[in-house]
Amino acid sequence: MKEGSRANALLVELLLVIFFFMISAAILVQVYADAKLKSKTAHATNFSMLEAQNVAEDLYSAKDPDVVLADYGFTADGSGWILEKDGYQLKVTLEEEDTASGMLRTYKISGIEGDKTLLTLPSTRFIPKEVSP
Amino acid sequence: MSKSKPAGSHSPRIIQSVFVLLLLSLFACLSTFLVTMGAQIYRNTVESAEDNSNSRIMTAVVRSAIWAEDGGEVQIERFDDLGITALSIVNEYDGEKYYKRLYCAMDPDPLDGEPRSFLWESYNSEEVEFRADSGETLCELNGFEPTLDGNILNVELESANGTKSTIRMALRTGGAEE
Repeated sequence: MKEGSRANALLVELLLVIFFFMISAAILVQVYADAKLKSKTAHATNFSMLEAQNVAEDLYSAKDPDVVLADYGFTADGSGWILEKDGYQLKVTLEEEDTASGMLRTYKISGIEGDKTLLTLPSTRFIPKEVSP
Repeated sequence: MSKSKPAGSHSPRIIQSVFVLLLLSLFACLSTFLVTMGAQIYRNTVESAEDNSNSRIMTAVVRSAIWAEDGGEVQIERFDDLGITALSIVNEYDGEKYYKRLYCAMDPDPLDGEPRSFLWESYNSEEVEFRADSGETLCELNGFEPTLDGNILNVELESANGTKSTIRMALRTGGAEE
């Protein structure tokens, strides 16, 4: 075999190796990106759950829930209260049901990442009506 | 008489060799970059998973311990001589008071014998004097600082790797006093 064609064969072999390496690299980078995204979502879900539990407990025992939400740093928007956290946001909405004996007040605390709702935790409290003697 | 090659005929071979070397260098650089990036992402993912599991375990242990005994009287006890602040839930059975205490104290690690900070749970009658080693270790924990504000129990926790969490619980029943 001529020396020149041997060098060409080596070059082609090397290019083929690099080509397959690039394909593998592209797949691996995609896998890494997915792993990072999933890890970020798991982190946001976990910490939004912990924070939502704390907010739910405080709302359950609060005399004035608006003050509790303001203390946490929530800001009111049209549909509820929003709190921006690191990588996720908490949203609190209120549903009230008036019954004969009192008011059923349900706060729904949602953890949101981007457009995706990670979890929703309800905190329900029944406030009885005052009965005249 | 032998003919010598002209000096210019060596240059294509040199260029080809340099090109091959450049390709090899590129291959090596990209491989290193990919492995380094993968290792970094793997490390971040593991650290994040550890943070998540630590914070979930710490808070779940404390919450479930309190919910299990919420009918009792919740107290914060300070044992200055031992340097321990304990969250105590007191229940009375047959006229005798029983204390369930959650606190943070040191204990030798079962594997290497090095002293480490753990979350402990003890359950004793009031006649038994409290000792730090009278309970069971639940999980590794660096910090446990309970405080009471009315019927809201606030517990600041710090895991072994420094992750900080706060638990706030509204005590449904029983008294709360500090």
